[in-house]
Parts: sequence; C-alpha cells; structure tokens
Amino acid sequence: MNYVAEIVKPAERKVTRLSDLTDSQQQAIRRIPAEKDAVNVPLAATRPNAIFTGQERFDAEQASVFRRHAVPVAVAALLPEPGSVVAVEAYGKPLLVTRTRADEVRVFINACQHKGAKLIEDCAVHKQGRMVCPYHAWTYGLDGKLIGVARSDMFEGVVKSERGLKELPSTVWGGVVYAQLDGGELDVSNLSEQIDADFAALGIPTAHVYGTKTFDLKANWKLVLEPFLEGYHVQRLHAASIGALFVDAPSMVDTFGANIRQVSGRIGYEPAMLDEDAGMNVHKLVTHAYTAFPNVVVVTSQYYTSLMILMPYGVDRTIVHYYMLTPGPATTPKAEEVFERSYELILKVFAGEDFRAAQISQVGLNAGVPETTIYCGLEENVIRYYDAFEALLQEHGSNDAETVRHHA
Amino acid sequence: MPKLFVTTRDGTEHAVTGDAGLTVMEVIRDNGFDELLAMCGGSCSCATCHVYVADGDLSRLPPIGVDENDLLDSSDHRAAGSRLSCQLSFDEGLDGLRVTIAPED
Repeated sequence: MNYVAEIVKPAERKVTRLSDLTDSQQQAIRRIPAEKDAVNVPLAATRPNAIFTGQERFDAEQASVFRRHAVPVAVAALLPEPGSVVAVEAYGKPLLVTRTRADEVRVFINACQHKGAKLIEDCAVHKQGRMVCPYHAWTYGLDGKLIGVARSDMFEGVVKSERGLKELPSTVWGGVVYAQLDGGELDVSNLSEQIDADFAALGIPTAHVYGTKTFDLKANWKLVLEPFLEGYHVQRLHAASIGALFVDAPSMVDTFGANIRQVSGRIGYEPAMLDEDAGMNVHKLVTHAYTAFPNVVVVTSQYYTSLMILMPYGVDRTIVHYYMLTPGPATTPKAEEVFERSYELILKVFAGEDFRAAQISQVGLNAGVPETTIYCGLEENVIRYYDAFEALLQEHGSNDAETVRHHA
Repeated sequence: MPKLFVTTRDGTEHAVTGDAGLTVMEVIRDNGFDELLAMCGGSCSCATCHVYVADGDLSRLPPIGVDENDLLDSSDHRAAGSRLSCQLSFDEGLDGLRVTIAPED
C-alpha cells in the first residue's frame, strides 16, 4: 500500500554537501569572509516597549498577519506516508493534518460535524485510512468526507455530503504545512520561493522527525524569535554550552520580503575549506539560520536541523512547537546515540537559555523597563525583520506600528 | 445452529456457531474475538468490523450497500472479498461461511 511512496522517496542523504544547496545558498556561503577578516559595523536602532507588551499591537499582528495570511501549523515530515493523520493544536485551534492516500496534505478542524467532539485526542501520528469519532462513531475519510453515520436511519434530512469536516485551505511550503486560519482564500503572498527551494535543498520536506516537543512560554513571540536573528547573545548567554563554537562574526544575510536567511562560518572558518572535499558535510563549516514568514525558525547543525514554529497565544504567551529533523531514522546504535545526545543538548540550550532569556526579558518589559529596546550592529537582522514585518502591519491598514513609533 | 469459520489475525481458523438472526459481526464478537472492534455497534458507520469473505462464499451474500461501499473504500486493506460483517445477517443460508478478520486500519 506504500508502494508509490517508497518509489518516489529520494535516495537517503546522510549529510548536506555544498553541491546539494541552491545556487543562491552557495553564493551566500561564498561571500563569508575568513574569521580573521570579518568586519562588524555598529548600529543605532530601537523599538518601543509596547511592541512586546501592548494589546493593541498584538491585536494588529493577529488581524494583519496571523489571521490574514497562511500560517505554519506543522511540518509535513510528521506524515511521511500516505494514509496518515496527526492532531495538532495551532494558534488555539484544534486541527487535523492528514496525508491522504493520494499523497495530498490537507488540514481540517478537529471537530465532528455532529456535536463538535475531537476525532483524535492525542498527539501521536496515526497510520489509518479513516477517523472514527469516539462519541457516536461518525466516520470520516482522510479527505474530510463523512463516510459513516451510526443509525443514519434515525436522522431526518441529514445529507452526508454536506457534513464533511471543516477544511482550512492549506499548502506545503519548504516542507512546512501552512493553513489559512480564517478559512478564507489561501494567501501565500509573503511566502518566498527562495525559502521553499532552500528548505528543499536542506532536506526539510523529506526529513525524518526524530523528536518533537512543545513549550508554553510566558513571553511575546518576538522575544522568543530575537535570539534566532542575532549572534550577539551567542558567546554570552550560551557561554556554558555552545558559545565557544561560534565567534562574533557577521552573518551573510539575504532577505526575501519578510523572510530572512543568515549563514555564518563556524569557528576558524576560511573560505578555502569549502573546496577541500566535495563530499564534505557543509554544516561542519557553516550554520544556516532562517526566519521564514512569519514565525518559522530553522537552524542547522552538523547532523540535524532544528525547526520551530512560534505561535502567539497572547501578548506575553507563546507556544513553541520544536521539531528535530534528521536525514532519516538512526540506522546504527552510534547514530542513535548522536541523535539522542543532540536532542538533549539542543533542548537544553533552547529551553534553558534562549527561551529563558525571552521569559526574563518579558518580566522586565512588563514592568515598563526599558521604554525602548536597543539594538547593536550584531543584532541588525532583528531590525531587518521588524522593518519587513511592520511594513505588513501598515500595508494592511493598521496604524498601530505608526502609533507605537510616535510614542517612542 | 449455523456454523461460522473465523480466521483471526494470527492466521488461526476457529469454528464457532451463532444464533440465526444475529449479524456475522455479533457472532464473531459474542465468541470472544476482541480484535474485531465494531466501534459503532453495528450500524454501518465505522468500518472496524471489516472481514474478508472466502471466494466460494461471495455468491451467497447480499449485495454491498452504498454506505458499506464508501466505508470499505476508506480502508487501506480493501480486497475482493471485503465486507463489513455488521451488514451480513447470519442464518442457515450462510451455514459454513468462512471469514478472515481484516488487518486493523
């Protein structure tokens, strides 16, 4: 039954080589100077406290971005095989993400059309051809079609074809499932073709989900995002963990609308290293960090890729869905050990350091301090991203960004 | 009482009997084969009582209804002899029927 899927699955990669990357990614890497030649430029930029603490700003972001454009809800790699389904809570909505037997990814509201009961209550991936409501056993196909109603003779005038699951328009972009939360027409105008191609080159659509974890954080989503946009904190916040592996070198940055690609050399980087061995794992030399519209973070490591979706739930509440992606399942005990150790380490670093920083910053900002956050030359990407994001708030008729600027 | 041969998922065939008037699903379940879930209780809405009927017995069965057909279509394991056992009334006419419990979807 999985015949087709096995045939179309590309040859399993072990590592990502320079030649696996898109031309655009390769050009960016070629621009990275040697560590000793790197130049950093100072910057003066601020943002008002209210972008992290104001209800008005939060509401404007919801109206202009999160409910207007398609937003990420899960990674497609969770469902590698046709005929599978997973329940996801995203932005407060109970969702079902399915991969039909025709190999299409679809997104539905996880609610029976009889009384609204959740069809799937856990968060495991289920390999099954249909979903049976636990309440009265109404049964739906993975395409959302209602295919069985218990004692249908007892319902007058119920037409099965009119009671399919509520579907949200969706698409898979760079291996990430995006859905239109308001149920309206799919708006992918801020998604970038380059990001789609880059993520494919990184193997995200065909990856194996080694582990996934959800974090409920008391912090504005942008505070959670900031450390993934700047290198300033790395040697400080991460001093006891991974800080020693990185230097204060500038990243090579490319922006594609409100999408940002950063790539930087690891410690001791020299451009000549790129051409020493064509089969070399390029992520031994460089680290990619992406912010894909509007709230997807991707960070590469040598043997795995971290992908996070930062879902805003309130001014100072964010739920993070973390996925550790590997090229495939571990095939040897040694590989399993590497994956296991990596998973523990990365969760320790992200949760214990980056997310902690976001939460302690929120406490101070909520107390009104500082009145404006301030950004240096090693944090320029934060400003790049905010400029692009705030342009969207304004474009959609919200004067909120303007208002908070004047207050600053 | 009419006889029914049930092959469980481990490949073992069991001979059981059942009262005429029950459905094949009820006969299977009443004989303690818990692997046949029959979640909806026998109202043709969940497809968890899926069985394969032996080739030689197919001509003895009533035709497949529209709802039953839709439900069977949702299974990854539909085959030529696929039926929902809740839709088969067990009686003397089906004495000696051979069914195999289909894999779980």
